Amino acid sequence: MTEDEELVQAVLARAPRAFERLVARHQKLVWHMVYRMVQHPEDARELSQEVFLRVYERLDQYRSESSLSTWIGRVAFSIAARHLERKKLPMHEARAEDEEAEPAWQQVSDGFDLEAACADHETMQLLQQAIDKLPALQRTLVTLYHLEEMGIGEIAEVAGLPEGTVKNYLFRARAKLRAALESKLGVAA
Amino acid sequence: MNTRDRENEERLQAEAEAAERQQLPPGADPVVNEYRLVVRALRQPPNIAGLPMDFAARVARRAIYAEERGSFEDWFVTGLMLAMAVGALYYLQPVAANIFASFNMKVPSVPWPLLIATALSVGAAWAVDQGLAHRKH
Repeated sequence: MTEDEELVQAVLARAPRAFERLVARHQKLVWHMVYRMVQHPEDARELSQEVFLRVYERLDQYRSESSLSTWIGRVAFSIAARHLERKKLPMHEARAEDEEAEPAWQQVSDGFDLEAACADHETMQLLQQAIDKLPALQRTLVTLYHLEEMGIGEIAEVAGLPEGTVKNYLFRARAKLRAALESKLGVAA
Repeated sequence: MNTRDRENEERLQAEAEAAERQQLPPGADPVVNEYRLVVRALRQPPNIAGLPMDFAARVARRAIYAEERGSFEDWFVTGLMLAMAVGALYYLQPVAANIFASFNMKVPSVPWPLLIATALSVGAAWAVDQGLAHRKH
């Protein structure tokens, strides 16, 4: 039995502080996901709490078919997605940008002063701003992949998308960020 | 979109990701190096104060409180329904007796003290059972 399964059993048996341990173990994942999706700190804190309350209510439905973090991620994704829907905020980028515009990776040139850029703390800030400007779904997927180090299969399960679609979104997001990096640094495209 | 270009770009992204994971020094390909910066930025957590330090304890308290309140409400509603059912039976018995009398049927008289005592016993046993189950948790 894995550590997560033991923890789940302890929570279901209402062992003292078991749920607190479960929350502490997965709160970083939930926070990163929810914050990246809604981009509003207060809302993200409220929603993170809602995620764990839902997890507590429905933990008896967890069947160990996927990892606990994937299962919790799915709960977090659906709660944050519903929040965006209620607030009428888009999850995806506009279709025109998606299909008609020139792909981001074709808009960039090949060289700039990398050493200077690496040394520059501003570069990271510029990229963070560019990440914030990505569509909510892409932001979430790159966060799960790069920050939480989830596999493509797990991400597909969390977001309810085919693996190919997840890979495509990741590719486009990275390409867009590279384009943003170059345009912000004033390199001719 | 040119498939070959796309495949090439995917390869460059994969190279950048691998190089970044292995913490290799910057390579000769400027595009890979750019993608490495992108990957590095993506691996950074959001630059904002996250959840409060006591978040886990607070959420756990709230979850347990909600559950306890929920079980009290369930118990209260069940008791209320039971009381209403007994009350309805008590008040409807004469009416039912008249209706059955009009059909020339005889309604058996209800032994109220025995019925109430039985209901109270069942209720008390259930409450004790609930209390024991709660203490186990």
